[in-house]
Amino acid sequence: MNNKNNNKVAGKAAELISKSGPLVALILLCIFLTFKNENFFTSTNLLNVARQAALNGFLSLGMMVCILTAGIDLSIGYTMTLSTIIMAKCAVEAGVNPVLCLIIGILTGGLLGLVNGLLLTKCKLPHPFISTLGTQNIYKGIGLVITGATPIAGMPAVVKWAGSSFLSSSQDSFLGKIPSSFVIMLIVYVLFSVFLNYTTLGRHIYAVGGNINTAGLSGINVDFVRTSVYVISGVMAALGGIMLTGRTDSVYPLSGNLLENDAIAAVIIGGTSFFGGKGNVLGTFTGVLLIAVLRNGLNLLNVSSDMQTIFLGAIIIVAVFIDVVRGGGFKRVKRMKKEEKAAA
Amino acid sequence: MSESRQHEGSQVPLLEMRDITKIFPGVVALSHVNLSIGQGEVHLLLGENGAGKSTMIKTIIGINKPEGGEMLWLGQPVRLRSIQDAYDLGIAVIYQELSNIPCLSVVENMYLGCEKKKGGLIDWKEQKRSAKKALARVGLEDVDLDMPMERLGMGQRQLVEIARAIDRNAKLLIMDEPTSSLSRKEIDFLLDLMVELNQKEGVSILFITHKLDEAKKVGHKVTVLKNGQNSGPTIDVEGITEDQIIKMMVGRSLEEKFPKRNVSIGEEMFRCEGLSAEKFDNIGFHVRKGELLGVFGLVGAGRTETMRAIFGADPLVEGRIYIEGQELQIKSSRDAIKKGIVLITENRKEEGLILIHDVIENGTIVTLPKFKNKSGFIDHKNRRQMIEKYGADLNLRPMQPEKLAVDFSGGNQQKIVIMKWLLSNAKVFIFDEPTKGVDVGAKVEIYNIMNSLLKEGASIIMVSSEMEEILGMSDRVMVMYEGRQTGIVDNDGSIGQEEILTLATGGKL
Repeated sequence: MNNKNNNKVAGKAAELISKSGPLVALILLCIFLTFKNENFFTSTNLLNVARQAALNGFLSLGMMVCILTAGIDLSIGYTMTLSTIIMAKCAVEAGVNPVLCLIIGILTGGLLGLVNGLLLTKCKLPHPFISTLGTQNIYKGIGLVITGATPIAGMPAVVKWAGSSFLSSSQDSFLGKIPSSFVIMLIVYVLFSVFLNYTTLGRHIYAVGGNINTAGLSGINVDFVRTSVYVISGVMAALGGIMLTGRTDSVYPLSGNLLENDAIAAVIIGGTSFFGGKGNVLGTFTGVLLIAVLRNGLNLLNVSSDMQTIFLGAIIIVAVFIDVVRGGGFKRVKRMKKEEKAAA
Repeated sequence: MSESRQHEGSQVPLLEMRDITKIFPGVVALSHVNLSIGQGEVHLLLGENGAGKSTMIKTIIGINKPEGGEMLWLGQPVRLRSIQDAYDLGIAVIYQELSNIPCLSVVENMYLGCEKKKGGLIDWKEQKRSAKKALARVGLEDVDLDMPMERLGMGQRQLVEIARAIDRNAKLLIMDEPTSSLSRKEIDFLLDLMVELNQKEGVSILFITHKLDEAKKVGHKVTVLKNGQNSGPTIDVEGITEDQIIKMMVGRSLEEKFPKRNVSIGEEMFRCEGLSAEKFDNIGFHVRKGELLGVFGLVGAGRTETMRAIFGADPLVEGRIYIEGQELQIKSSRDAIKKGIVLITENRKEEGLILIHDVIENGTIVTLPKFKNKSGFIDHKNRRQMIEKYGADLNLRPMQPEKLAVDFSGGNQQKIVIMKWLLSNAKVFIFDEPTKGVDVGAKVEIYNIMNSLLKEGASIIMVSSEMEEILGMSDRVMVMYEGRQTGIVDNDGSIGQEEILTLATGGKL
């Protein structure tokens, strides 16, 4: 009996380690950077990382729900850009109430996501890769046309607040160093975790990704679920855009370029299955931080951005490979050996 | 006849499987099975569904790695690491479901994975020349080699696969229920071809089939499997009767296989009239409370299509559906589920379960909104308790709510599917092939579950291709043929297998 309990504990521990693989990698990376560069483990630097992580943090959440349904949102970067352009136009040129501008921006993101969702569910395009590849270009083009390819600057304070402020206005206090954008991101991550685990729509997202046929035949409104995730993705893109706009005090019509890459990377590194049905918020959060720390650390170590790209690519492959090793064949063989012993 | 059946018995066997044991998570699929196939022999491998025949084949060709036992090829021990090793030895398999690629041409399919090359490039001329030769030997000399495979009929496609095996000089041809989707004429041709290959070319054949008459026509020896074990020793086909074989396959009487139920049948629960769509026409029937209506028909009779339409999974062109006297508008599966009509599909793994999710997720997928607490969030504790309760009722093994569906055996997977509908308080259960791929012991459990559903006043519509199951479980039987309903008969002992088969092949009683 005691032995059995011990096994159970050991099993739990092994499971925890295998589940938090990216987390272990993140911690190791931080330790490495701390020893390698004295500027890394300083509050200024870490908070800077946190601030920069917010944009990808939001985009990755949106990307994650799409990937959970075995889909993808390639338009996420330019959904962000276009929704911030609309928001900035309203705020700077039309002089709309800034709070209303924020709402307009978020709604625009949702609407652009809705288009993606409807292309998939109503127009029956075979895979969201196609629809969102198309809208990525369309959204980018619309943004360029509207702005005449010139940046928009000079946002009102309210619009800038989320991306630029700190928890306290006094710069010397501890709270004064913590960026609001990071805290907002944390809150959204917690809300998202609750959403995915404790609401029917959240669980249905997993079910649709796990097996769309079974989900449909179990009475789940599959089209609704699939449309929803793209709307969520659009809203998340808009939120990310608001953070970016605040941080840079401007909207640049090509700001969305290749942002989907980092988002996909964070989600995949975080252990979400590319085939849908498996993944969690904590993993994605770790993936986001891992990428942010990696970029920051490589900067501190004076690694050129060209080289950084190579590192990031390698990390994606290694992360998924580790997942294959521990979740796929190897684990199954181990389990079968165990069953065999039990049978004998 | 008996002369031509002689084969040299004194030689070393071509293939010997000794004491094979194969374990899957949760099931012992094969337990100490022996199988010995002589050179130039047509060997029959018989057994019920789930007896372990397919597992045995997969073990022979190196897909399954057995936990125990050894394999001898011409007396020499061999260990296969992959199906490629089996090919290299001279073993070829004609699968139950054809394994060719429909959009590629006949000649490409013939040499897929073993292309003939010259200077590193595919030698099309040589491939076509030898393909033509091999195809001529299976009676397909006129087939256009550049035609895509999909334009051939099922029987012809199968012949192409046999030609492929001949071309590779296969010494052992394994045929896994090759006649199940063929017409009578195609079957006769195939059986003749088997005899010819065996006698003229000396190819040994391992023939797996459900049809005993076919088996007796071509076989020399027979090995019967039951519950993953040898059911008696291998015997000569000569002089054995079909009844003796059945006894070896079944091993117990029908009464034990189909538990008795004592249910009083109540008033009408479900009725449909004039159901029509692409694959079926003018179907109408009713089921009462506590009643089980069996639906029988051959492949392509439109049974599954009809049931999917009733369940709202596929569109209905015409027809009316009533439940407890009230007419329903069923536009989607959601509508059907709301009204208490549920479908337990034939494809458990593709349509019934989410294999990568656990029992809790699978079991509550339909009824998730019921587990919300006052604030609208899902109560995970309540959900788990419910699954534990129903799991115990259904005797789910192992009873581990967090175990993934993929890790359960076929019978227990079926219990998980049933569980999700039990939670939804369904009234009309449509079971499509409920015991497909379920081993014999678990079958009885599924039948018991069905009986207790009936006892609680539910109605069951059971689509099945197994005559035994239809006769053993149904109160009445509806028979379909090519999308039409050819009759509904009471299963009170007055009719039997012949009558039902007559209806199923388009005849009249």
